[in-house]
Amino acid sequence: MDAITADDHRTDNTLLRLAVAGDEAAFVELYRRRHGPLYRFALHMSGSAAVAEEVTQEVFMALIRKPGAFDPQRGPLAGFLYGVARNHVLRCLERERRFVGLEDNPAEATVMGDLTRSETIGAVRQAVLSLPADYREVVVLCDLQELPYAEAAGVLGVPVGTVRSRLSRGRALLEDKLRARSERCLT
Amino acid sequence: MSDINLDETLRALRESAATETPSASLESELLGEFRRHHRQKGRRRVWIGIGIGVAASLLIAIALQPERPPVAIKTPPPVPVITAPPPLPPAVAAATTPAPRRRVMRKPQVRPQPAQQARREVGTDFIPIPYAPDFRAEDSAAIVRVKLPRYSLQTVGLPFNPERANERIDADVLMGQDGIARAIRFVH
Repeated sequence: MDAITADDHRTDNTLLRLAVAGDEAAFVELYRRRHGPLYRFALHMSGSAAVAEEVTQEVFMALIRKPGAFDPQRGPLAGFLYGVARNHVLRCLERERRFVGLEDNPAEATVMGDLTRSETIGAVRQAVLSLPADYREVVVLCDLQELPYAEAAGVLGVPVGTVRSRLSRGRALLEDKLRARSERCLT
Repeated sequence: MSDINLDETLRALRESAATETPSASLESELLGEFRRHHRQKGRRRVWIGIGIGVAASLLIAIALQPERPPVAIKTPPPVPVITAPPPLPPAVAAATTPAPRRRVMRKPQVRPQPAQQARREVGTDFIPIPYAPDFRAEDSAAIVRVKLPRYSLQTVGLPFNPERANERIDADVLMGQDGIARAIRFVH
């Protein structure tokens, strides 16, 4: 669970304050605490380990160079970091056009009637990647990163109601894609 | 898989990715960047500290300078006022209007180069700042160019025009290794 708790919030802010003052250990602790969820968010969004690594690096570079960009009044640090990561991911996707849809990737199709676990994971990963960005980011934040709706709304800068509706639509699209794939495999 | 259990498939994807992390080298790269950034920040702080030290020692030196009577500046004698002649009648004015002059080509003005400007700079000798620590010939020093209000001329006993007291004048400050000003000269 990568959700942002109140305790994390306080501790993150303390660590950031120490890091800004030059405390190396505080920076390392903050990095170790937050790099995994950010990396996985970027990975699910882009489908590329290289992009995910680049995004993670950019997020922490931004934190080193411009820590003042984070305003604790506007929400927890983790939400801010997700927001920075999201901007970088969208920029990378725009640059690299790495969208890969199920239809564009016939090599993924299986001749077996049912999918094994690894194939299921591969299929759902591809299905998530083929979602439009607006739906993909709510599915990744809420379903894969398990952020509460309110925090996802803070990251995306939209009302909670929008998160709910996008998530509902995104999940419906996912189901359609997976069902279509399953039917293709059966025929 | 015609009956899709979306929660189950998403959970499987989530679990499969749970151990995914960036390469270990990223942490050391970021740590290197963190150290570089803070070294640079430290250097900036040192220079700001030096600047503040210079300014503070100058202000202290100026404040501790015993007051001297202001030097009277000789002002030039008043220029006699010449009243304008009464306007001429139009006919006379037309007759006395000079013929249009031929245009004369002017020589293009050559702006002095920075090197020439530097050569034209004149200044006082270095004047020791009162109460500053002794400066020995073997000490290393730096000269810092600053701008000071003209009234600071009087603090080292130089005349100044009270009407231009707040205008700025260039000064070279001789700084010791310890960042304390030892001597000053004014340049123009």
